[in-house]
Amino acid sequence: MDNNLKKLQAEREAMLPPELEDHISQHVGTLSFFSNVMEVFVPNALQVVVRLVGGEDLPCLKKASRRAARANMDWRTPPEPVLPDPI
Amino acid sequence: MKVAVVATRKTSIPASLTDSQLIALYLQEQDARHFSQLYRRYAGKVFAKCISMLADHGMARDATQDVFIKILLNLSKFTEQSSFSTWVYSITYNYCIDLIRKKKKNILIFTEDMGRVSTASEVEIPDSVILEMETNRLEKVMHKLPVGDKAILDMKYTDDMSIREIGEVLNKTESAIKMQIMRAKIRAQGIYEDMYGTEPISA
Repeated sequence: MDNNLKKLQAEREAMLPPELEDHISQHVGTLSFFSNVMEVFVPNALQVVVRLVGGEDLPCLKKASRRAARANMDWRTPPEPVLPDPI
Repeated sequence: MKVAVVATRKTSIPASLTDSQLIALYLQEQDARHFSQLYRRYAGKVFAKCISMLADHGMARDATQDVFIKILLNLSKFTEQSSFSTWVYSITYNYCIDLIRKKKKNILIFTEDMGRVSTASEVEIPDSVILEMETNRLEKVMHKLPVGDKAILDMKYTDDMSIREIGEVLNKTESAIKMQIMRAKIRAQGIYEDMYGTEPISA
Protein backbone atom coordinates (compact mmCIF):
# COMPACT_ATOMS: atom_id res chain seq x y z
CA MET A 1 0.00 0.00 0.00
CA ASP A 2 1.31 3.43 -0.97
CA ASN A 3 1.21 6.09 1.71
CA ASN A 4 2.46 9.65 2.09
CA LEU A 5 5.58 8.59 3.98
CA LYS A 6 6.50 6.37 1.02
CA LYS A 7 5.86 9.28 -1.36
CA LEU A 8 8.18 11.43 0.75
CA GLN A 9 10.82 8.69 0.65
CA ALA A 10 10.47 8.35 -3.15
CA GLU A 11 11.02 12.12 -3.54
CA ARG A 12 14.17 11.89 -1.43
CA GLU A 13 15.44 8.80 -3.27
CA ALA A 14 15.23 10.77 -6.51
CA MET A 15 17.58 13.37 -5.01
CA LEU A 16 20.44 10.87 -4.76
CA PRO A 17 23.49 12.52 -6.37
CA PRO A 18 24.52 10.42 -9.41
CA GLU A 19 28.24 11.12 -8.88
CA LEU A 20 28.12 9.25 -5.58
CA GLU A 21 28.30 5.90 -7.36
CA ASP A 22 31.59 6.90 -9.02
CA HIS A 23 33.04 8.01 -5.68
CA ILE A 24 32.12 4.72 -4.08
CA SER A 25 33.40 2.71 -7.09
CA GLN A 26 36.74 4.49 -6.71
CA HIS A 27 36.85 3.52 -3.04
CA VAL A 28 35.97 -0.09 -3.91
CA GLY A 29 38.73 -0.14 -6.55
CA THR A 30 41.32 1.35 -4.19
CA LEU A 31 40.40 -1.03 -1.39
CA SER A 32 40.57 -4.13 -3.59
CA PHE A 33 43.89 -2.92 -5.07
CA PHE A 34 45.42 -2.52 -1.61
CA SER A 35 44.01 -5.82 -0.40
CA ASN A 36 45.61 -7.53 -3.43
CA VAL A 37 48.90 -5.74 -2.77
CA MET A 38 48.79 -6.86 0.85
CA GLU A 39 48.00 -10.42 -0.13
CA VAL A 40 50.80 -10.65 -2.69
CA PHE A 41 53.61 -8.60 -1.21
CA VAL A 42 53.27 -8.56 2.57
CA PRO A 43 54.13 -12.27 3.19
CA ASN A 44 57.22 -11.99 0.99
CA ALA A 45 58.28 -8.68 2.49
CA LEU A 46 57.91 -10.26 5.92
CA GLN A 47 60.04 -13.17 4.75
CA VAL A 48 62.79 -10.78 3.61
CA VAL A 49 62.77 -9.05 7.00
CA VAL A 50 62.94 -12.41 8.81
CA ARG A 51 65.92 -13.47 6.66
CA LEU A 52 67.65 -10.12 7.19
CA VAL A 53 67.53 -10.53 10.96
CA GLY A 54 68.89 -14.05 10.59
CA GLY A 55 65.71 -16.03 11.06
CA GLU A 56 64.48 -19.08 9.20
CA ASP A 57 61.91 -19.19 6.43
CA LEU A 58 58.33 -18.67 7.58
CA PRO A 59 56.63 -22.10 7.74
CA CYS A 60 53.65 -20.98 5.69
CA LEU A 61 55.82 -19.69 2.86
CA LYS A 62 58.19 -22.66 3.10
CA LYS A 63 55.32 -25.08 2.52
CA ALA A 64 53.97 -23.06 -0.35
CA SER A 65 57.33 -22.80 -2.10
CA ARG A 66 58.06 -26.52 -1.67
CA ARG A 67 54.64 -27.34 -3.03
CA ALA A 68 55.22 -24.99 -5.95
CA ALA A 69 58.64 -26.50 -6.68
CA ARG A 70 57.20 -30.00 -6.63
CA ALA A 71 54.39 -28.96 -8.94
CA ASN A 72 56.83 -27.53 -11.48
CA MET A 73 59.14 -30.60 -11.39
CA ASP A 74 58.69 -32.94 -14.34
CA TRP A 75 60.12 -36.38 -13.48
CA ARG A 76 59.88 -37.53 -17.08
CA THR A 77 62.51 -35.05 -18.29
CA PRO A 78 66.05 -36.01 -17.29
CA PRO A 79 68.20 -33.21 -15.89
CA GLU A 80 70.50 -31.54 -18.36
CA PRO A 81 74.12 -32.71 -18.12
CA VAL A 82 76.45 -30.21 -16.52
CA LEU A 83 79.13 -29.49 -19.10
CA PRO A 84 82.71 -28.64 -18.08
CA ASP A 85 83.75 -25.02 -18.33
CA PRO A 86 85.04 -24.31 -21.92
CA ILE A 87 88.01 -22.38 -20.51
CA MET B 1 42.89 -16.49 -24.84
CA LYS B 2 43.34 -13.12 -23.25
CA VAL B 3 40.42 -11.76 -25.29
CA ALA B 4 38.20 -14.60 -24.07
CA VAL B 5 39.03 -13.81 -20.46
CA VAL B 6 38.23 -10.13 -20.97
CA ALA B 7 34.97 -11.03 -22.72
CA THR B 8 33.94 -13.25 -19.78
CA ARG B 9 34.71 -10.48 -17.33
CA LYS B 10 32.61 -7.93 -19.21
CA THR B 11 29.36 -9.96 -19.00
CA SER B 12 26.66 -8.14 -17.06
CA ILE B 13 25.49 -9.23 -13.63
CA PRO B 14 21.98 -10.78 -13.78
CA ALA B 15 19.47 -8.62 -11.92
CA SER B 16 17.82 -11.76 -10.57
CA LEU B 17 20.69 -12.46 -8.17
CA THR B 18 19.68 -12.16 -4.53
CA ASP B 19 21.55 -9.95 -2.07
CA SER B 20 23.17 -13.01 -0.46
CA GLN B 21 24.35 -14.31 -3.85
CA LEU B 22 25.82 -10.92 -4.72
CA ILE B 23 27.64 -10.74 -1.39
CA ALA B 24 29.03 -14.27 -1.81
CA LEU B 25 30.19 -13.47 -5.35
CA TYR B 26 31.78 -10.20 -4.28
CA LEU B 27 33.66 -11.89 -1.44
CA GLN B 28 34.83 -14.69 -3.76
CA GLU B 29 35.82 -12.67 -6.82
CA GLN B 30 36.34 -9.15 -5.40
CA ASP B 31 34.58 -7.89 -8.54
CA ALA B 32 33.39 -4.31 -7.96
CA ARG B 33 30.37 -4.84 -10.22
CA HIS B 34 28.75 -7.09 -7.63
CA PHE B 35 29.06 -4.39 -5.02
CA SER B 36 27.77 -1.79 -7.51
CA GLN B 37 24.66 -3.89 -7.93
CA LEU B 38 24.10 -3.85 -4.17
CA TYR B 39 24.75 -0.11 -4.18
CA ARG B 40 22.10 0.46 -6.87
CA ARG B 41 19.57 -1.52 -4.85
CA TYR B 42 20.04 0.34 -1.58
CA ALA B 43 21.69 3.73 -2.26
CA GLY B 44 18.40 5.59 -2.74
CA LYS B 45 16.89 4.18 0.43
CA VAL B 46 20.03 4.85 2.47
CA PHE B 47 20.23 8.41 1.12
CA ALA B 48 16.54 9.05 1.86
CA LYS B 49 17.02 7.76 5.40
CA CYS B 50 20.07 9.96 5.91
CA ILE B 51 18.18 13.05 4.69
CA SER B 52 15.27 12.19 6.95
CA MET B 53 17.49 11.79 10.02
CA LEU B 54 20.14 14.45 9.36
CA ALA B 55 17.88 17.01 7.62
CA ASP B 56 20.81 18.23 5.51
CA HIS B 57 21.50 17.32 1.87
CA GLY B 58 25.29 17.65 2.03
CA MET B 59 25.61 15.70 5.27
CA ALA B 60 23.28 13.03 3.89
CA ARG B 61 25.47 12.63 0.78
CA ASP B 62 28.64 12.23 2.88
CA ALA B 63 26.84 9.90 5.28
CA THR B 64 25.60 7.71 2.40
CA GLN B 65 29.16 7.41 1.12
CA ASP B 66 30.49 6.54 4.58
CA VAL B 67 27.70 4.03 5.18
CA PHE B 68 28.55 2.19 1.93
CA ILE B 69 32.26 2.15 2.76
CA LYS B 70 31.32 0.71 6.15
CA ILE B 71 29.14 -1.91 4.46
CA LEU B 72 32.00 -2.79 2.10
CA LEU B 73 34.52 -3.17 4.91
CA ASN B 74 32.16 -5.27 7.03
CA LEU B 75 30.61 -7.37 4.26
CA SER B 76 32.46 -10.49 5.39
CA LYS B 77 30.93 -10.06 8.88
CA PHE B 78 27.35 -10.19 7.55
CA THR B 79 26.01 -13.45 8.95
CA GLU B 80 22.55 -13.59 7.38
CA GLN B 81 20.91 -13.77 10.82
CA SER B 82 18.76 -10.92 9.54
CA SER B 83 18.02 -9.81 5.99
CA PHE B 84 20.63 -7.69 4.21
CA SER B 85 18.24 -4.73 4.10
CA THR B 86 17.77 -4.86 7.89
CA TRP B 87 21.57 -4.96 8.29
CA VAL B 88 21.98 -1.98 5.95
CA TYR B 89 19.30 0.03 7.81
CA SER B 90 20.89 -0.81 11.11
CA ILE B 91 24.29 0.49 9.92
CA THR B 92 22.62 3.62 8.49
CA TYR B 93 20.61 4.28 11.65
CA ASN B 94 23.59 3.82 13.98
CA TYR B 95 25.86 5.92 11.77
CA CYS B 96 23.38 8.81 11.66
CA ILE B 97 22.73 8.65 15.40
CA ASP B 98 26.50 8.76 16.07
CA LEU B 99 26.83 11.73 13.73
CA ILE B 100 23.98 13.60 15.46
CA ARG B 101 25.42 12.79 18.89
CA LYS B 102 28.80 14.18 17.84
CA LYS B 103 27.10 17.38 16.66
CA LYS B 104 24.82 17.86 19.65
CA LYS B 105 25.90 16.32 22.92
CA ASN B 106 22.55 16.16 24.74
CA ILE B 107 20.35 14.98 21.92
CA LEU B 108 17.03 13.32 22.69
CA ILE B 109 16.57 10.29 20.51
CA PHE B 110 13.04 9.20 21.47
CA THR B 111 9.96 10.96 22.82
CA GLU B 112 10.19 8.92 26.01
CA ASP B 113 13.63 10.46 26.64
CA MET B 114 11.86 13.81 27.08
CA GLY B 115 10.39 12.49 30.30
CA ARG B 116 6.91 13.95 29.91
CA VAL B 117 4.95 11.16 28.36
CA SER B 118 1.66 10.64 30.16
CA THR B 119 0.42 7.07 30.16
CA ALA B 120 -3.17 8.30 30.35
CA SER B 121 -3.01 9.70 26.82
CA GLU B 122 -1.56 6.49 25.40
CA VAL B 123 -4.61 5.34 23.53
CA GLU B 124 -4.37 3.50 20.22
CA ILE B 125 -4.37 6.12 17.45
CA PRO B 126 -4.98 5.17 13.83
CA ASP B 127 -2.13 4.96 11.30
CA SER B 128 -4.03 7.42 9.10
CA VAL B 129 -2.87 10.19 11.46
CA ILE B 130 0.55 9.83 9.83
CA LEU B 131 -0.15 8.17 6.52
CA GLU B 132 -2.83 10.52 5.22
CA MET B 133 -1.17 13.74 6.31
CA GLU B 134 -0.51 16.06 3.34
CA THR B 135 3.14 15.52 2.22
CA ASN B 136 4.43 19.06 2.86
CA ARG B 137 2.89 19.11 6.32
CA LEU B 138 4.06 15.58 6.99
CA GLU B 139 7.63 16.61 6.11
CA LYS B 140 7.45 19.54 8.56
CA VAL B 141 5.95 17.39 11.31
CA MET B 142 8.57 14.66 10.76
CA HIS B 143 11.29 17.32 10.90
CA LYS B 144 10.13 18.31 14.38
CA LEU B 145 10.03 14.76 15.72
CA PRO B 146 12.95 13.36 17.73
CA VAL B 147 15.31 11.49 15.41
CA GLY B 148 14.53 8.06 16.90
CA ASP B 149 10.79 8.55 16.48
CA LYS B 150 11.34 9.64 12.90
CA ALA B 151 13.46 6.54 12.20
CA ILE B 152 11.01 4.17 13.84
CA LEU B 153 8.05 5.56 11.84
CA ASP B 154 10.14 5.34 8.66
CA MET B 155 11.02 1.71 9.32
CA LYS B 156 7.42 0.80 10.09
CA TYR B 157 5.52 2.72 7.41
CA THR B 158 8.06 3.32 4.64
CA ASP B 159 10.17 0.17 4.68
CA ASP B 160 7.30 -2.05 5.93
CA MET B 161 9.65 -3.66 8.44
CA SER B 162 8.15 -6.01 11.01
CA ILE B 163 8.24 -5.15 14.73
CA ARG B 164 10.84 -7.92 15.18
CA GLU B 165 13.11 -6.44 12.47
CA ILE B 166 12.82 -2.93 13.96
CA GLY B 167 13.69 -4.46 17.31
CA GLU B 168 16.83 -6.01 15.78
CA VAL B 169 17.91 -2.67 14.32
CA LEU B 170 17.29 -0.69 17.51
CA ASN B 171 18.28 -3.52 19.83
CA LYS B 172 14.99 -3.34 21.76
CA THR B 173 12.23 -5.75 22.64
CA GLU B 174 9.10 -6.04 20.52
CA SER B 175 6.87 -4.56 23.24
CA ALA B 176 9.23 -1.59 23.61
CA ILE B 177 9.07 -1.02 19.86
CA LYS B 178 5.26 -1.15 19.85
CA MET B 179 5.20 1.37 22.68
CA GLN B 180 7.63 3.66 20.86
CA ILE B 181 5.64 3.55 17.63
CA MET B 182 2.51 4.52 19.55
CA ARG B 183 4.29 7.37 21.33
CA ALA B 184 5.82 8.59 18.08
CA LYS B 185 2.34 8.71 16.53
CA ILE B 186 0.94 10.59 19.53
CA ARG B 187 3.81 13.05 19.37
CA ALA B 188 3.38 13.54 15.60
CA GLN B 189 -0.30 14.24 16.15
CA GLY B 190 0.57 16.72 18.91
CA ILE B 191 3.07 18.53 16.69
CA TYR B 192 0.48 18.69 13.89
CA GLU B 193 -2.11 20.20 16.22
CA ASP B 194 0.42 22.76 17.48
CA MET B 195 1.27 23.78 13.90
CA TYR B 196 -2.08 23.58 12.15
CA GLY B 197 -4.66 23.54 14.93
CA THR B 198 -7.70 21.45 14.20
CA GLU B 199 -7.35 21.55 10.40
CA PRO B 200 -8.15 18.16 8.85
CA ILE B 201 -5.12 15.89 8.42
CA SER B 202 -5.66 14.96 4.78
CA ALA B 203 -5.49 17.72 2.16
